[in-house]
Amino acid sequence: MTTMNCAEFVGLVTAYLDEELETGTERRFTGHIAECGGCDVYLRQIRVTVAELRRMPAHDLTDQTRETLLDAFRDWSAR
Amino acid sequence: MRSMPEADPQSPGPALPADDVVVEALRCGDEDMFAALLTAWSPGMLQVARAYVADEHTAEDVVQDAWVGVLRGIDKFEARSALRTWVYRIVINRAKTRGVNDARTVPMTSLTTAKEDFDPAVDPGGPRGGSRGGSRGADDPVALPQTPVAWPSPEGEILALEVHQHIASALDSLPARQRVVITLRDMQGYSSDEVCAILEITAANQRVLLHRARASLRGTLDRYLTAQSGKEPTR
Repeated sequence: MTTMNCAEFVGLVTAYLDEELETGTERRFTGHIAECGGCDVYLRQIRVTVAELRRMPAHDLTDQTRETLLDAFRDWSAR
Repeated sequence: MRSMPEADPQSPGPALPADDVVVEALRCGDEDMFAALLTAWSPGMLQVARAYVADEHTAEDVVQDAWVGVLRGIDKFEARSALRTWVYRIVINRAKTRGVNDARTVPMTSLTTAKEDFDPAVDPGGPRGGSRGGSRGADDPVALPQTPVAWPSPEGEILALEVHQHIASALDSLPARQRVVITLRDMQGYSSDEVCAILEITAANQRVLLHRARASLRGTLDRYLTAQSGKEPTR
């Protein structure tokens, strides 16, 4: 089994998180985590980034826009 | 072969009935159903519209316009895609049109479809400052950072708010397609299959866009958080 270097590791992070790596590649990927503290930190940081994105506050439509659209729906359904 | 991105059981938000039930209800004038759709999908639609237009107000206009387009088109909706996929395509089309018309306020790079596919600066200004300026090959989608320094937990109090502000401005600087992908995948939690269907791109292309967007945001957070912890990047 060939070892994985850091550049290859970083390039595969997204595929790994989507569970899209082939079994052999995934084994080399996780093997690299065990050996390389920097890449372990990198992967954690990507996970934190994704988690923080998930926590970003979402905006909703303003009440006015919502009312406008509900009015539009009534007009449309009365067509 | 992957399955069609129909009702996605893992998608967030309030549960809606199956598409055929929703569509039939709308056609019959069920206002509660329309209101439920507005509640469920508008926040994500606003975030996606923001990838193409310059401010929240314009995004709201785009989303309003898109919903009117949904009403005009729903009688002809043939369920060749999931309803939500179809709705998002309408938003993106309207937002692109609006973004082009307002191009003076949006960097032109956000409007091109292909440039970011060749842009080597994935993690611009990351800790590996020495490799800045395109010394990597154009086919290398990733900047390998210098040995990453662990971050302080961004969950602590004020830090979380500031992290979100940094993320918001980093999102503003992403090319539009990267921003749409990371918005749908990571902020809205949609599956890669659904994102591919919405944007009509391949799985490989979707992954590259997501990868670059995440690497870029990680770089932004790294600059902020390593400075916060008093450990300046080494160059």
